[in-house]
Amino acid sequence: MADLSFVATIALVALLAAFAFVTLIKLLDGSISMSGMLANGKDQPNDPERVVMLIGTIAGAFAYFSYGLKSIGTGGTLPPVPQEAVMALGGSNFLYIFGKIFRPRK
Amino acid sequence: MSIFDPQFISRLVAIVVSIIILALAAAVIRAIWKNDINLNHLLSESPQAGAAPDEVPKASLSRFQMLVFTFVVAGLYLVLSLETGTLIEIPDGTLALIGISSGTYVLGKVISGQKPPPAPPAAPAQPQPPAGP
Repeated sequence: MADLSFVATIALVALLAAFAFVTLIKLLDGSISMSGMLANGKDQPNDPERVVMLIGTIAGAFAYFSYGLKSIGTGGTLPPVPQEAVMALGGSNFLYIFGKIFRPRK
Repeated sequence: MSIFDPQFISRLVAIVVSIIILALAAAVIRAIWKNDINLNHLLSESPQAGAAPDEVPKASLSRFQMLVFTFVVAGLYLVLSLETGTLIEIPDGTLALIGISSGTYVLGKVISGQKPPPAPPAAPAQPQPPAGP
């Protein structure tokens, strides 16, 4: 059964990687539109709270991923997220929702 | 090895189930690649009420955040699970991170859905019956 498990695992990882790859290609070639992500409506200026949330998302995801890669071979659990990081992300998401509610949308 | 041997049966079932799961995943990826499953609006917000049918909705930041976190956490979970050979535990902080992201997405969707729908066209006036004698 071990050989079957190995083959199935490799195939599943390849398929998941292919899914991520296809999504990434479509993001890069513009098929998946990202226009207007930083504004509250079309043809409006960028909102600061959205810029903060975008930076926090990318920085947090990259930091967590690199931190998680370092924990390979050291016990095998996902790395804990610091309480301060959770609060910072929660704060930026709260600002995003606040802006979405109270910023006028033309 | 007889075909009624439990080990043979379990191995056969494992092979069949593995093939089915992998074939399903491959079919989904093939459909995405050939655009039968259209991902073009993966990050788009719901269209505004009264918007033109061909108008492309703007992208949603909360959807993008959820996509990034899903790939990061799922990728790490897969790598570490493969390394240890067992399903690993997910810390509370990671669950909180995913929860905040998903909650923001749901709240954003609720807020976007609260826009009033377009007013229905006015019904034509009914002719009044003639007054009696």
